[in-house]
Amino acid sequence: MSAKKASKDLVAASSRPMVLSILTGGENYGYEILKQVRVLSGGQVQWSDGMLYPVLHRLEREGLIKGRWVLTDAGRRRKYYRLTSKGKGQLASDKESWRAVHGTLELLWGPGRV
Amino acid sequence: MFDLDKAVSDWRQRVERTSSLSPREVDELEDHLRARVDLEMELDQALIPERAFRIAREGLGKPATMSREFAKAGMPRWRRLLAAGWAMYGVSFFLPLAGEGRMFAGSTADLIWQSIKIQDVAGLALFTLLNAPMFLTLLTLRSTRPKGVRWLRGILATMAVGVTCLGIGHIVSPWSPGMGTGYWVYAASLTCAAAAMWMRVGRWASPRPLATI
Repeated sequence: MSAKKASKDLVAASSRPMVLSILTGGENYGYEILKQVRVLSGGQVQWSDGMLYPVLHRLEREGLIKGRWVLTDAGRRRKYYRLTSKGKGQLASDKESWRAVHGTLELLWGPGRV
Repeated sequence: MFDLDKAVSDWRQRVERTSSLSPREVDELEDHLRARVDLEMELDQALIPERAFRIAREGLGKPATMSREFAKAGMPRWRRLLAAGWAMYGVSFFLPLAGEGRMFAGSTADLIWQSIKIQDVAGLALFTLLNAPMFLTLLTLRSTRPKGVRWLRGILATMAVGVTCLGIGHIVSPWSPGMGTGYWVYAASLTCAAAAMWMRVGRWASPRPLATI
């Protein structure tokens, strides 16, 4: 069976927990976050390049992540993001909600149901 | 021969000219563009830089679409502050301008109406002149040039300080009944607008890297 891509709405709804979860692994920047999402989802969750940055800026505005500019070895300016304590709290709450949704769907799709 | 730096620089200029993105936002997108070019060439050794650049540029999308996506992510703080300033500015027109016991204790709206009735051209011209900076803040919503906004910021900040000092002078003066609510709300609206312009200019400033990696 070929892997289907996740719907646009699902991708948008999951963007916050995904970014926050990736940042639990430490500071990271836009392009690397995008790559991780593609690799971890086996290509099923495809974020467009231009979609990620507004999401990062919104999360930063909400105080869930914090950015800082650094100079790379190549002499380029790059913005790195890290998770804030508010972001950690939000992620815990998101995990609970997504697990509840996942658990419910698992039961609904269990043997003899669908 | 294809020059990647020139292509990126041309792309950047086009984005700055045709979108409402701040240089900081474009800095981040430029880093992304370059990283994508590097990756595309790493994945396909036979790929020419020009093609890799085109793939990376198309991946980011058109400047207008990027602007819309950024706008959807929420109103920047300076815009919210400007909106608050404008709300106070509007309300101040209908609140008493001077303290009780003054010869004129009506609102700014009353004052304008009376000036129109008696065709006080000089009074209306003065009113227009004093309020022009506030109206000019609306132009900054689409502006891509920081120079004019810096001037406007200076004018609004001077007006806010002047209006506040004048009001305080009236409070401490034993002969003055003080200023009315409308006056203070007006002073607050100028302060908010000046602060919003301050933040607007800050968004144009290129970030200074804090660390190296």
